[in-house]
Amino acid sequence: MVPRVAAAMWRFGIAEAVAYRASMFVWVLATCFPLVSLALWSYLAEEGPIGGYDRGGFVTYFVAAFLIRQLTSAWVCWDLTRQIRLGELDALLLRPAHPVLHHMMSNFAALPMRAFMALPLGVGVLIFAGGGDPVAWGDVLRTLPTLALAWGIVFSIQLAVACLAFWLTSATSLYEAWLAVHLVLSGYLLPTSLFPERFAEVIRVLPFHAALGFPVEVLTGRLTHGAYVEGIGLQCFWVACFSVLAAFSWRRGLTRYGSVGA
Amino acid sequence: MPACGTDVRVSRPPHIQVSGLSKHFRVSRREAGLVAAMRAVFRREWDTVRAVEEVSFRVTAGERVALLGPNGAGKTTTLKMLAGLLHPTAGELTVAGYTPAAREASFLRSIALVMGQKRQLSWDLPALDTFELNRVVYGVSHSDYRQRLDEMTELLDLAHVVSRPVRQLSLGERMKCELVAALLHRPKVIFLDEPTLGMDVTMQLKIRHFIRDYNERYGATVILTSHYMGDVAALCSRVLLIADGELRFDGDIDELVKSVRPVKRVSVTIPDKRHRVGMSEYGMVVQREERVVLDVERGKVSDVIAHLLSREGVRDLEVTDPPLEEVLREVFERRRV
Amino acid sequence: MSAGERRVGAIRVAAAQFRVCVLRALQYRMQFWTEGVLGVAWSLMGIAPLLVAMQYRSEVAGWGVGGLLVLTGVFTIMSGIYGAMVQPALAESMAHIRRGSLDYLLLRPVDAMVSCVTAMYSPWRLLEVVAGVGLVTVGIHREGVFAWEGLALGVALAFLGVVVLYAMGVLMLAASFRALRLENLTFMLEAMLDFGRWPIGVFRGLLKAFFTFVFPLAVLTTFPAEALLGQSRAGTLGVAVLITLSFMFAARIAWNRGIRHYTSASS
Repeated sequence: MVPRVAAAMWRFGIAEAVAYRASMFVWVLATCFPLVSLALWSYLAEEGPIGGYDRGGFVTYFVAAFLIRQLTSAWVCWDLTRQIRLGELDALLLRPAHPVLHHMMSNFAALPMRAFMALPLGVGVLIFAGGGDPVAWGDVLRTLPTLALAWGIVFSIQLAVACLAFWLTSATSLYEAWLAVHLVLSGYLLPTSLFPERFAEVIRVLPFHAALGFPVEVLTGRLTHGAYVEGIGLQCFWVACFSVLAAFSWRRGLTRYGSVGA
Repeated sequence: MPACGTDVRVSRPPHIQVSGLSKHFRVSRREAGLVAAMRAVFRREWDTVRAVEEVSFRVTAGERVALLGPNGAGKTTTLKMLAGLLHPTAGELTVAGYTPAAREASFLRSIALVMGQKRQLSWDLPALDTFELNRVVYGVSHSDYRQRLDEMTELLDLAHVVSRPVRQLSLGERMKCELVAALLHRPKVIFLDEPTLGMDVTMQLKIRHFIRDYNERYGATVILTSHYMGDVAALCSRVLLIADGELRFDGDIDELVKSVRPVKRVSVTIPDKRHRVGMSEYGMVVQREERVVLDVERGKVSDVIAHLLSREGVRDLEVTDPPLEEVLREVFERRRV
Repeated sequence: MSAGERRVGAIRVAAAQFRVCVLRALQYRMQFWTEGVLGVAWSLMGIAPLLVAMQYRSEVAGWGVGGLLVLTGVFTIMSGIYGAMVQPALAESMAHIRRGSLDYLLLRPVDAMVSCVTAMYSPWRLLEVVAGVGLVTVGIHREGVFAWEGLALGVALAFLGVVVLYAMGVLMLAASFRALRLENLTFMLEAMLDFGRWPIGVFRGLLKAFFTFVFPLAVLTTFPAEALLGQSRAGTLGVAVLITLSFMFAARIAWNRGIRHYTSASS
């Protein structure tokens, strides 16, 4: 029953994604900071490599970071907080299907469209920048599971924060604060390996890096097999952590929603 | 004691049973001004809002019942508790044998809630897309879905409407689509919250007719809240009057009118002022202009009519029930019926 | 109304609208954190790449640590002004256009364009301006290059930068008359502004020309920063004035076209 319901929700999500394609395209463009970073670092690398990255390396890194962010993004935080605030959650609760399943499938359904819009942009930048380090097919395959886990981390964190909207009026600002920290520490603004050594050691085990920097490094072939396995393990750990937190918050939040209403 | 015709109802098992239902909300007291705002940071004071207080009633399967009351009376809160969206503070509640608050899947599959203000249809997509999603979520077979969709589309005249994006539809068309979406899974209990709010008269008539027709065909229990007397008069023989969270009356509309205002409203046109004397001996004078309106005790109506018709310069005599609005206003102003 | 009267009217309208928004902002004190502090955090996080870069290189395109601090400070000021004054007005106007309630703005005895660009303010985001000024002060102090002429030139160039920001906003508004779902464009513009965090010298050739004339980040951040550091090249002011005037001109034309399209299209 559940797979059939999930499939129907997925189809529904595709229809919505097509209807919202114009907005989506603008959002893809608005989340292009890696390209901004690329401008700086490719300039700096002209006189010589920095921290193991030469110019080509930076091009590949930042294009990969841009694409991977598009493919692992979620927006359940904004959607769910709006639904809680405006009472739109009622309609979802009346259906004999889990509202979170609905959000997940909507998210999955939109990712192909985002990829479709982001890939040409990424390729365009690659060409304009004169090409980057080549990427091996083996690395592409090894990246796929890390993408799923990275998405899991992002989604479960957003869900956990969104559940705070059952109690607070501005849960989204909390997520935006998290996001600001995330962008700095995840490898989105610059590769985490470039940070001062002691600092880098610490941030590379945090969920921020696991959600973005790690998949990017797998794709650009910068990790040994041992580091790869370690990283996957770390991702699993963080997904588990935040999923448990999200499930707990959801249950408590729903009880409160039921006693207080919209 | 609320008047209710219990004899008919005891013979069949109740489909919906509510006893001692209460819902209290704790709201923080917030006053205006800078000093109060700063004080509120350190010490919050709480008030209790008694939205629903000790409400009890029973509904048998297939009945059509209206929850009537002024704004903020607790009608929507009661409806949401029946649908399982709100947890009661106290009291017991059974709908179709389930406890709504448990939100079991089979319970959710046997009810539907349609709210006039909030929609379940996706805004940018055609209604058909949401129907299809609901079909799978509620486990409706393809053949059943096709048959029910065709039937309702024809009844509600929606052939060209369901394939256009919902945001392009008028309010009436949107409401009709909402109804279809809610009824595709043939719920046994239908909750309607202000279903004809903001619509023109023709549309209101169509929707009332559809709901009544549905209830008669499939025996679904209908509970609706409304402001409009037209909704109530057309759809429900039984009303529950709720004011300040309390159940003030439970029973037949006509009985209510008879017990609260045991009069008939007699109106007559008397163009000449001189012929308008002595009206007060017939009953209470509501209006003394060219159109004279009197409230006459039921027993005396035939005598009064005879007297009036024998007078000079009298025409267009009309006898009706007192307007429901006035009756209700009187009920809500008293403590008990 | 004479041109002078119309101009005074515009300032009065802007001031009145600002006052209303300040009163509202004082009521929603939570926004001090959600808009003010968060805005500062977002602006300042962009300094991380520069600080890390300083570990590997002694300078970036000829800019040392102090200079980069000043540049980031100017960027933060611009970002704050955009977020506090330009973006809210644009979002509100676009919402009016979408809902069809722009008519009320058009009925006012004020120039419609002025009404739109003063439609809303988010005063708490001015905190970024304060933070930016702080950064600039620290940077100038570090470089030890304070001069009154530099300050005057810097402020003048910054003012021109703000005018360019407004002009770009008006261009977006004019575009949204034709295509209704363009509210996210304001966020895209904000994202593109991030390119202004780096000195213009980081870009080469075509890209440099683009960011000087087509999307004039140079005017917005690099020119004022250079001036404050006393490193302005001759003719910078002239170039900036030229670019600003062209943008103002283009914006006004686009606005007139857009409004004509709107008033003739609506029923």
